[in-house]
Amino acid sequence: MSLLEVRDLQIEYASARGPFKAVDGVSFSIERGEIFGLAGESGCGKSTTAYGIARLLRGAARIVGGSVRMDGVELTKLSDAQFDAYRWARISIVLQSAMNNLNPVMKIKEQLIDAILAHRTGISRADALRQAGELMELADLPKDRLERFPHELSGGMRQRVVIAMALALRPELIIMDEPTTALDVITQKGIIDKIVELKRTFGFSVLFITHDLPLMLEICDRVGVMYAGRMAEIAARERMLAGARHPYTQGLLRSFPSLTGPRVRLEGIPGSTPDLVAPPSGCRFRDRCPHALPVCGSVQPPVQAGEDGVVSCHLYAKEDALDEAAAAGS
Amino acid sequence: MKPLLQVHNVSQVYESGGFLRKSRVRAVRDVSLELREGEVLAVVGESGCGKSTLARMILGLLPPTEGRVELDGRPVVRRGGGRLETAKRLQMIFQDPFETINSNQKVETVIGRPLQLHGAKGPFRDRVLKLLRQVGLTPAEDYIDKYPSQLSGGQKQRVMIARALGIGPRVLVADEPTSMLDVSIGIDIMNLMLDLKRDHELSLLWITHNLGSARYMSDRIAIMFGGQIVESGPTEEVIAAPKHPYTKALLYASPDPRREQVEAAAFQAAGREEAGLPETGCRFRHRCPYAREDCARSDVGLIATTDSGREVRCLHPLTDRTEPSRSQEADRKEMEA
Repeated sequence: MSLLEVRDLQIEYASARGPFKAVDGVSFSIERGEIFGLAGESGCGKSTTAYGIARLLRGAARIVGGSVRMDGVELTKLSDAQFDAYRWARISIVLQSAMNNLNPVMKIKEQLIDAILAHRTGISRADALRQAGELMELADLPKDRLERFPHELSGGMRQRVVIAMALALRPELIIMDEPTTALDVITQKGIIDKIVELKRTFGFSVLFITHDLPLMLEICDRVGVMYAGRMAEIAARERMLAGARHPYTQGLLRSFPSLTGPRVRLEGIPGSTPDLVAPPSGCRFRDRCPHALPVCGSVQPPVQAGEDGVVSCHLYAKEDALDEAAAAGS
Repeated sequence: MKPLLQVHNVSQVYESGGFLRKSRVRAVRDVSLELREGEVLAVVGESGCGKSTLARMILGLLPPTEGRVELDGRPVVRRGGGRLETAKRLQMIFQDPFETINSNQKVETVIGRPLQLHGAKGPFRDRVLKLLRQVGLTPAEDYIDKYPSQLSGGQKQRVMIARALGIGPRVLVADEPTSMLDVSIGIDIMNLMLDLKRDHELSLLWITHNLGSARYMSDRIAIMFGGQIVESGPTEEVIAAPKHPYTKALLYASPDPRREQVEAAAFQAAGREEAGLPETGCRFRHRCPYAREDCARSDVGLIATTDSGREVRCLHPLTDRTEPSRSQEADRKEMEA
């Protein structure tokens, strides 16, 4: 059984112009010890999906359908009190801005101890301090930094502290939403390598979210690409490097200038993302797709799973799948 | 190609604090560079390296503490501040079109107003329409009466490019103009700027932290670290075989899944931001995996290394055989490969 199973997840936002689904029928699974990447451009629903899994949706957003199972337990049905047993202990989260959310007037030591004491009952302060020291070591942070305040640490070090905190209770799943986007590339590289190393040591799984597809393809075992609230394609890293199948993924991969290979003109993706309050019928990518067929305008592409992963595009539809979709859509 | 823009030994010292405890930061240190006609020069560096300060001095928005900037042999700022007429021929495209565009003005005013301020005679509407077409916002009639809030990020950036273009610049200075945009839109903006450069015989100074975009855009590249240029030369040569350890670290740390995995030693030491920047000697030496004792010598200047115009600020430029001077952890990436 997969560690995490997300099935047909639907998350709705209320807006002044009416409700819209930021996540509309997204399915994927994360295996134990796997780094699963969720890629896509702004507004595609990747962060909303992560917040839905971690039950961090607030205010205007709520889950309106689908399921999120961890080890077979339906997370969306748990009460807040029941879910508290999952927070930090089994699922922890690292956000892009987390390094700026450390308490500025508390020493690093106190913040780590607080996090440990809040979630581990029956542990002494001295033990918590010892654990805080171990966590610092894990994240390659000199121990004397425990006595420092956040502003005395560089951005990269603060983000390492946040990652160390996320590891405190040895969770099975760590959700990382653009964990290195605010950092310089050299600092980013050090942290990314550390995450991969810690994952090997402790065997946790990672849901890694970024808009940076080259970075994602460097570290993830499998990658899901979202577009306008839907999953366009899921494939193993090697498969995607050998050639993506969905025209949107192909376009995204073409949009990143490479540091190797011949210098060629890149074409990007013409047009812009659709309005989710009134999404187009059929495939949401069709207006920007260079391969669009007549059927793309009327029928939502069926999700096809195979050995190569999952793709949701009429170009790869088998005849019977197409008939089924047409019947369902009519 | 003759030099169009010349930057001669500019420095910028920022002062802060009161008169009891004044602190001085030399953000840019003795930088010289040349932009030739029709050329794209990329200035690459991480946050805080001084690249944006350098851009502001080039544009005449910030008088250099030392040194001077000339366009076609004429100074950009007069002594004691004040932009000169020459500065008009230098136009800036900023990072964030959401911040720099005036949201109360229609597109026609955003683009037309600078034309008026720079002494052109009206009516401007036809010229604005023409500029909109030049930046790919067609049909132009659909865009001219819109407000910025009705435009996407990419469209806003195109409007800002049209606005800069209207003044008839010789040089466009672009400071990370795609970093706020989605990648598929960002590449369109890069293509547009390359096309405009070609069609309008412009030169382009491309300022970025991203080596990939620098390679895509530029003919020559200058790498900045700690307020100094540490390496410069033809873009392809520098990226294929960097001579400065910092350039190598930057290259190896930039994500590129198609590249073979590289030795971790080259960038691990470079990530130690907290090691600090020494005021004298090589500024990178505390983070350099190849540092030796003499790197603290005070005379580490830019050295020309080949006749193709490559320069490097390093006493021990990298060769194929350079080994790290400090022991490093083995490359863990090998296990994954």
